[in-house]
Amino acid sequence: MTYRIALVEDEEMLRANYSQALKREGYMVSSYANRQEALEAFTLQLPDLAILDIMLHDEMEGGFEICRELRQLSPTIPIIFLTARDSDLDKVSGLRLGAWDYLTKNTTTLDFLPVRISALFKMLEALRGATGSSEHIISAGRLRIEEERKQVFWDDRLLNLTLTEFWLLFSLVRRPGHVKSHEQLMESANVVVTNNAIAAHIRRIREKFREIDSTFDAIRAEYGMGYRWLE
Amino acid sequence: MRISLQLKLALISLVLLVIPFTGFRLSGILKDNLLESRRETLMFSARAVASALTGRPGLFDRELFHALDQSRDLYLIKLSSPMRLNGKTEGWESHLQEAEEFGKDHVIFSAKPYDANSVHFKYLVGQRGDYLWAIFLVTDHHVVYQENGSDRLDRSDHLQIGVEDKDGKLHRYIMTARKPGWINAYEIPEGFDEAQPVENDNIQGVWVETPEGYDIELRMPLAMVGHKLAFAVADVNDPVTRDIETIIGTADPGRIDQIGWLLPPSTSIIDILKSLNRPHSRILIVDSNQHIRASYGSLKTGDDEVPAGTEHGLDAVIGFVNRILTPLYRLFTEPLASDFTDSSPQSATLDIKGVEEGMDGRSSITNYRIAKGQVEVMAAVTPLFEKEKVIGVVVVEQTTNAILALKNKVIEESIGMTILFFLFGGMGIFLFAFRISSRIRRLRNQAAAAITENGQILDILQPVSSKDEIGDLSRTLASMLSQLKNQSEYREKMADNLEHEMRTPLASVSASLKNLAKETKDLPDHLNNYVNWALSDVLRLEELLTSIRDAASLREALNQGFRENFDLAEALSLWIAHSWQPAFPAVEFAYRRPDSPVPINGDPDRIRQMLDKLIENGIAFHSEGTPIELRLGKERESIFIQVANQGPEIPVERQGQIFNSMVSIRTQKDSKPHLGLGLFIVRTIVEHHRGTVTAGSLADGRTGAIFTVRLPPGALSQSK
Repeated sequence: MTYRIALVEDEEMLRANYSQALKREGYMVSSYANRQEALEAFTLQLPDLAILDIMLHDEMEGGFEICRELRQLSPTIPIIFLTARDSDLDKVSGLRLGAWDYLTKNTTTLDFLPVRISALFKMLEALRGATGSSEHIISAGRLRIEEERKQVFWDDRLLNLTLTEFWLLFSLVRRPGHVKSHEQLMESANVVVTNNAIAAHIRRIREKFREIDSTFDAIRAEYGMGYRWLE
Repeated sequence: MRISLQLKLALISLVLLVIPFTGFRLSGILKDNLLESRRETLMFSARAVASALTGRPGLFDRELFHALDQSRDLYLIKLSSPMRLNGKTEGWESHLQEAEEFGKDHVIFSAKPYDANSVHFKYLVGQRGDYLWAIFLVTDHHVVYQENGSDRLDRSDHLQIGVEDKDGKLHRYIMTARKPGWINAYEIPEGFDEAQPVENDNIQGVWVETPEGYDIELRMPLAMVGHKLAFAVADVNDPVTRDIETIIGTADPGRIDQIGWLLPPSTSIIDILKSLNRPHSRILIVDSNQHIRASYGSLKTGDDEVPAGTEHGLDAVIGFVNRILTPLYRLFTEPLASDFTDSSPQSATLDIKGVEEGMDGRSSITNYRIAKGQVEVMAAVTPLFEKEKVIGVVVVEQTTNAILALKNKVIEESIGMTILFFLFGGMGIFLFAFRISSRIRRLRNQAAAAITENGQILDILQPVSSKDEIGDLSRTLASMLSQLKNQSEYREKMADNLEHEMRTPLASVSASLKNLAKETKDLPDHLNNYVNWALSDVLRLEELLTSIRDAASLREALNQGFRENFDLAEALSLWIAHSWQPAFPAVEFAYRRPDSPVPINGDPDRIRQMLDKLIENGIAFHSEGTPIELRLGKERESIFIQVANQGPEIPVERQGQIFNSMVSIRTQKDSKPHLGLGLFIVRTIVEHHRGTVTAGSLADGRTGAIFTVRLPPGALSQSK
């Protein structure tokens, strides 16, 4: 089955480059330059996955708008935000728009974008499949991770993590007590970002745990060398 | 030398000192003018008195102004104090000085050539009540008393008296003594040898021995005395022969044609003077013997006394100041002897310069002092003419006290005013100066405080609303600072904007390159190189942008950071071992780790990032082969971290600036791009932890730079 991916990006050359790269990976790519164009198409037919730029021409939060309407059309469609600004990530998180992942536009975007897309589709497949059939489940104390579905439970309550957050957490939990450096974490999360961005991701992961359990303190910063999971 | 504005203005206020100088000058002119007019007034008075007196025919005849003989005539002193007949000089003291010495020139009879040592005397005649008093101070080394058993009066030292009674008849008396004590007079009948002397109880006397000889004080009723009188002292030295050796006296008492006039103060002239009534002045009429014959008026003016107790308002203030400043005034003013002795008349004779000139027929003005330190008297002297002949002078005297008092008052007022001006005006100037200088100082402090030690521009200073130059200055400074702050903010924002605008094209370029590389599998090597070079340059550009992004979003990121308690001493060891040493294998790190842990509450990521920047900075500037030195310690309430390197020093004037965004003093080229953000990041992180960072030079003799970070240990215990 060939997945259909919708790419909404106002920058013409970037749009052409990214769609070309994704096509090369075997996806069907429809690209749109603005919100109206994209939404018109979505009402006709929903894509399997949407990659949304946040700022579309003069619409500062055009991407968020599309996301919101898309969620109404389909609650399960994977959405990836692609943004030029780190700070936009905070807005995504703050708005809880139901994005499954977000990436910054940089020189390494194309290196990781296909990996992430395929990871999301695998996850989608796992979610659609029978529960627990060939499931890798990691349990560590109060934490339970269903690896294929990329679902994380704390005290049996589901955490709503993005793909990057999942990979970061997964990397920490797989070797509890071991310090993971920023570089190691970036590698496991299939992303190249700044230390600041890693710290921001870790912070958001902590916040999500704390929404469930305000005493959560299992992720520790080790003298600024990296992070580790403490059981 | 630094002279503050206050001091300068205070010095300027010294100009007020001109006031007392003006006062001195004015008072001098005033005094001269007043003295001049006083002279004229006095002279006018004197002439008026003279013409009043000469206008009365026969007056001078009656008052015996003619044909006077200095030694024969007796001037009757008005005795002012109560008299006791005791032979002592009490009551006479004030006149003793003027008493004429009777000696060689007054010898009436001498058995052998007169010897001044043998006998001479002084005498005074006075009037008190109805009596004529006289005292004789006789110098005689051989006092010979009356022989016991002898009735002879002329065989011992004795006093001869010749009196013309009111009927013009001459009476002669002799007073002698058997021993010191009370003595009586014996009237010698006419024809000295024939008749026995008759004792006269009306004339009483006391004989007192003195070291020089003897004194006789006597008293006789004025009723016995007409117009003429003579005294003579007869000296007997040989107690055996008892011959009279010498007779000295005013005149021969035995010859009515020779005995002198008795000249009492002239009551009729005094009455005339009284009617002329010149206030605050004394009028003296002096005869040709320079004896004062009439005197009226007092030198005392009574003007000096200030009416007390009725001062109001400014006068009261000035009066108060004057009382306080009296000692100061004394330094500048001529003292007034307002309580001078004003015995009237001061002396029986008047021996001042002007009188002699007056006797020569000239009018003049003389200034003299009654005595040393006493008040100065101004005297106008004008001659009294009668038939073209000078028979005496009129002297009108006044003290210069009133003028001096006026002069002193002017000086006092000007000193008082000056001091008041100094107190109020000077204080005003001083306060004004203080106000200006404090305003300037406040402005300076505000301006200094507006930029922190590490170059951050804080709140803009509040421009003051005053419309003067200082207000202008403040507004100018405020607008300068606000421009500077805008500029600094713009620099910080510019990095962010630049980054944002460049990121998308960069992503596009790299995506194109990557697509190119992927889709053209079998590129020749050199073409493949081009793609890789382009990609690596794009990466470099991105790295640059990332560092800008990091710095620009740092403050925001810090607020979202995660804080924990950790041991900074241990952390530094770890960071050196696992981070810095591997990153810079050629550099030696000298870390002086403290013995005890240094617990801190903070964001370890950020603190490491901050130290990363300091270490990178230290390595960039260190001289090859020297270590990067790290020191950690506690000092009172703060934790300090020092990162030092040997190498060039940071110029002092740049030490505050280097912590600002996009400020770099690097001169050497480097493979890594530098935007001058490293130390800005350091400052931002340190300030986030409520600490301070300063740059300095090594103080231990080596050259190099040292950065000191101070953090409060509980820096972020109140986690946000």
